[in-house]
Amino acid sequence: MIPSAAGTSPLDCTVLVSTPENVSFDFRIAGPFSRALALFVDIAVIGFCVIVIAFILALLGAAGVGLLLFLMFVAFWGYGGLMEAFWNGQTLGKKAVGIRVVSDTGLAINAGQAMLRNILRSADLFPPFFPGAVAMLFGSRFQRLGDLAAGTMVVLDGQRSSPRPPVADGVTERMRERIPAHFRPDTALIDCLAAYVGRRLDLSAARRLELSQILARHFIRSWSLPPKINTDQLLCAIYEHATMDEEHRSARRDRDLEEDRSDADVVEHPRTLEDAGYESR
Amino acid sequence: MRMSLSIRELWRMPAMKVAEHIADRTPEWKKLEADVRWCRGGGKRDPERIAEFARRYRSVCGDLSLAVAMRWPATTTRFLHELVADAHTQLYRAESFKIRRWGRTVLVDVPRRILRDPCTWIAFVVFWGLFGGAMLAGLLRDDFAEAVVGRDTLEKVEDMYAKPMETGLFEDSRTAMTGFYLFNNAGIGLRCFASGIFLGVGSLLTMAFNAIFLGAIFGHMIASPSSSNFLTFVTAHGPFELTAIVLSGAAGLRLGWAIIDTKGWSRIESLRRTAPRALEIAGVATILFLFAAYIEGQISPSELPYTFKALTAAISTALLLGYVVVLGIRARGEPSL
Repeated sequence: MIPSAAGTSPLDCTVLVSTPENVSFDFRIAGPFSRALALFVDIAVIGFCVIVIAFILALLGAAGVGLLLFLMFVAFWGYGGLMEAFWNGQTLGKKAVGIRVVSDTGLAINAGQAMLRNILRSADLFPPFFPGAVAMLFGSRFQRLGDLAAGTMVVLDGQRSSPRPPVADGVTERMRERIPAHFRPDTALIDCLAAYVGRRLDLSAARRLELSQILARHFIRSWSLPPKINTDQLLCAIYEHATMDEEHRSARRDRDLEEDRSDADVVEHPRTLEDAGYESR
Repeated sequence: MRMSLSIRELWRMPAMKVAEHIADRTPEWKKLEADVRWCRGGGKRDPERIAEFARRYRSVCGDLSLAVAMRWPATTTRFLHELVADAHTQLYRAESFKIRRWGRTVLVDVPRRILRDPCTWIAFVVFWGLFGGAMLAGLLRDDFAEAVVGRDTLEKVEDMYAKPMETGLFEDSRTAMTGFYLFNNAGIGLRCFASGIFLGVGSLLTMAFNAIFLGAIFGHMIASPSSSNFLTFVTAHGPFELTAIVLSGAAGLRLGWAIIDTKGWSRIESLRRTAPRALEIAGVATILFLFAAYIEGQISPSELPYTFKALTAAISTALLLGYVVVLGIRARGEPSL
């Protein structure tokens, strides 16, 4: 039904989850360093709270010490588990770093999983071997022993990229017409074009031309295009052409034949680095 | 069914420009993002909005399929992956926290498991065997306790019980001691459980160490002149505290044994299936530690007569037996270890 994207998955630390909706999405796995940072923040938070509460409870004398020790027990053994259970898999540290605990089936974790992985942390941090750190080296999900037993993984969260549409604006019909109708780019080329088109708005106009030239040179040569063609627009047009179906393509071809042919898509290419958008220091 | 149909419709339609399609759908994606935030905020009482959320989630799943199949730009595909993942995590939530279910776990499932699990009996025998042995050795040989515990600790223990309880030991710091016993002992119990993941070795060592350490002190103190003070102190909380250590060890052994005897699962899968059940036993052990800490802090050091403390111990023992044996046997059905 839908062509699969098999074989094109990135070499990143991602985990693919298939849903009942018959789609697959991936989680990006959090690395050991962001997790260590989150742990550090959590320890700092607990330490700070314990000190503040200790000062307050000191007013109560010996009874206050008992209460403080009770709270310390709950904080040391329950902080992570309770936070993760009731706050969607995040502690304050995880929230600050932008990571989240989810079940390795992609579901939210339940209270049992949250408690288990946090109680087993004491085994993970067992000196001098730190078995949790060793366990993270095996397997593809950076799971420590607590994660393995609870069936959880820690994923990146909150660094959401923007859905900004690929902007192939201002592609002239003249430019579209320059692409041979029979041209069928392969998937690697489409991915490359998509990456360029998706990011081109972050670049200055001169830089766009400089970058797009690298790929466009090939098309200019093989399709005998004018050497001074606007390569940025050319790549946009090729991307448009590549992501268009046959019916639409032929409709466009028929329409294009009616239009006049100007050479408005030719621009001056940068000759120097300054032209290409570099600032000299 | 509905989902695949709509993808098909999208697939067949005269191709819009990708940019236009993304621009069209972006408001819907933003709405789904807002829905996810709403769900995370715990607002789960509005059925219409939940239905709307589910519908929107499925339509965005369609967008993701399309994005992957039609090779949309990486930034957009990445965004949809993250959005669908977040929404999925919220839509298919695991069971929520239910007091009644936990009541059933503690009163029905755990006693049955404790009674029928060989790990409990191994832990029981290891702990009490070593405890009894060390106590005998401490009774019979003066230097045994010193060799095990160390001169300094032993002197501290002797000092502590030099005076009888009637003089009001820890009079002004009983609450503090309760807190300390909970923090220290329940912490040891949980560490004992957690270290069971090393094939049970950690739990066995923790139990063995505590059994020999405590046994040696018991033997030494019973032989010492202040034995009556000592026994007056330890009687009341003994049953809960020592049973709690055994149960922590048993939970740890269960965890470790799941890695050794996998019953046909992969080792990690076997561990994963067993761990929640072992955690429940460790949870019950923590509750016992809490009871023990209360008794140890409030009743044990009090001036109450020995008969009252002995009665506390007897009632504790009866409760424990009732919990493990009566509830364990009463609960019918296959043991689920």
